[in-house]
Amino acid sequence: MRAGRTSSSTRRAGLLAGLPLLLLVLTPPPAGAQSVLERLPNGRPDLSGNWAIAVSISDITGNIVRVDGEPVTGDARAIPYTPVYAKLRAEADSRMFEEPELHCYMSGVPSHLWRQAYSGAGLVIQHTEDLVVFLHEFQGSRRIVSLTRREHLPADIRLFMGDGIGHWEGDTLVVETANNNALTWLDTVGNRHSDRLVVTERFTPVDNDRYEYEATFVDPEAYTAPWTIAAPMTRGADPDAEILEFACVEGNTDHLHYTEDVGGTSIAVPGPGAPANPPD
Amino acid sequence: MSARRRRADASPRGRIRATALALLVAALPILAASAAAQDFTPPRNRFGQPDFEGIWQVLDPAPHFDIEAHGASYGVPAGLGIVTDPADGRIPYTAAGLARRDANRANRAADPIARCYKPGVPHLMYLPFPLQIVQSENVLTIMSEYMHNTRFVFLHRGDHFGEGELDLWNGDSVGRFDGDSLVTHVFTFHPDTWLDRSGNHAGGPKLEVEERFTLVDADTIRYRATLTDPEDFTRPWTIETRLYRHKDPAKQILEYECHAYAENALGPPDLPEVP
Repeated sequence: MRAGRTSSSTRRAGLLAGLPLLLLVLTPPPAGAQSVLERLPNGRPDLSGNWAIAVSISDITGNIVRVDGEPVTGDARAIPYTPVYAKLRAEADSRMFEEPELHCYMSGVPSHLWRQAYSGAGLVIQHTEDLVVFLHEFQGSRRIVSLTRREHLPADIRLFMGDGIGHWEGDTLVVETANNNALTWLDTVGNRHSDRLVVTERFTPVDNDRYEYEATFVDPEAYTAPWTIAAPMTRGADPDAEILEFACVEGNTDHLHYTEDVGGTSIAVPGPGAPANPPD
Repeated sequence: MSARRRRADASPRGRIRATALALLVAALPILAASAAAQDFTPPRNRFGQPDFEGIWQVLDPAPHFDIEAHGASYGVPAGLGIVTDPADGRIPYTAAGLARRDANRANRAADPIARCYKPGVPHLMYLPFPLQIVQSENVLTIMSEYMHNTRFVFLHRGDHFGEGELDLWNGDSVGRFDGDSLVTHVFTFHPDTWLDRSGNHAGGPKLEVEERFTLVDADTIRYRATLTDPEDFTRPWTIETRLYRHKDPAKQILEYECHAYAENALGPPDLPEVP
């Protein structure tokens, strides 16, 4: 979908606006130059379109760039877990019945942004002056981020995709997502968070087709210090690629393999309220 | 007003002009009211499209339970029905379609909604959950709070995926703007969707749904859907209801992740094998 392209009517309006603009529109950029950042009518960068963020869904730790504010490389790229969550992470292989994908859960924040793409669409962003909507085919996950609200939802409300509110720092979009539940994982290898997780993401334009993505994780229950990942974010090659329907619950018996009803390993069924964190 | 102008107004031609003006002024409120009722001109977005963005919801939960006229029962409010054509308000089932409806009624556990499945189209539009519309140049996205169901109405293509090759619970939606209305065509459906909680149904490879969204005022969408399927229905038929704008600025789409709250209780699915 060419969500980010200038409409023909907008182009016509531009042509009518005068010769200088006409020349600007018709003059191709020099080879190798950065693409000109497209902007919304309010002047903010327009993130609409298809994207890929280069974070590994199989292990998020490879993208860690800072722990507790200090740059890290190599083996120091490790999540600063509290003892309880270090144990949960170490037991991941024996706790795969909790893996969110098996339960058809939406993938959570931020890993839904770089889940494996089943079609060419990858991450799709629809952007207006008031909203940024992140859409992905995997589990049909979806995050509607308000650019107008300033306060998060009451703490009693816990969501698979959290409560995202955004603001601008110059041309950088900053999204803070709170009200997360504890049921999503950060990757498929079993890196975890509690329901006190707050993720702060920064989308900084390099040019129209490239952004720098950064996410900082703060979770006093699961982590002893804030930690940050970074990755390049690039515009998709096929702007017409579409997200298809993702039916996971429909006809699915997988979850029954993990319940006592069929002799499987039980997982605590999350009730209508906030799913509990693992006990200390 | 100058003396010269006053003289001119005192002339016969001036009196006629004044009378005509008075009549026109008197008629203005009537003209304005009729324009508002019949010819509301919706605002346009930056792509020149009529602007449907906002959070919308039906007010009446009754069609979710039964789209035909029905009396109340336990947990089910009475409803006048939303079938506007045929005029009798009844779904024009074929014998096979009616038999399937009756079988559904005898086995409500097979209701896809009871298993947290996608509701299908048009049922998605009158669920008792809010939905948010956001528009880009080539796609209009409808995001329901129910099970994060998201419909993409693709505006850049008129053709569907190959007939029978896909069975999508919510169908494949393509759309265009017809004046101030959004007109969609939805096709290539899964066979097992219900239109309501009472066993009325539509689905499968022959079903075609044409929807028409029209802003009748700034805060109301008139929603029409015409369903055609020669196997289930003797003729095309139409439902009509209203979607109302949520005007509380604090309103937002939250989550109703149905299956996550009842995973152990859902039990094995009772669906025929889909080839």
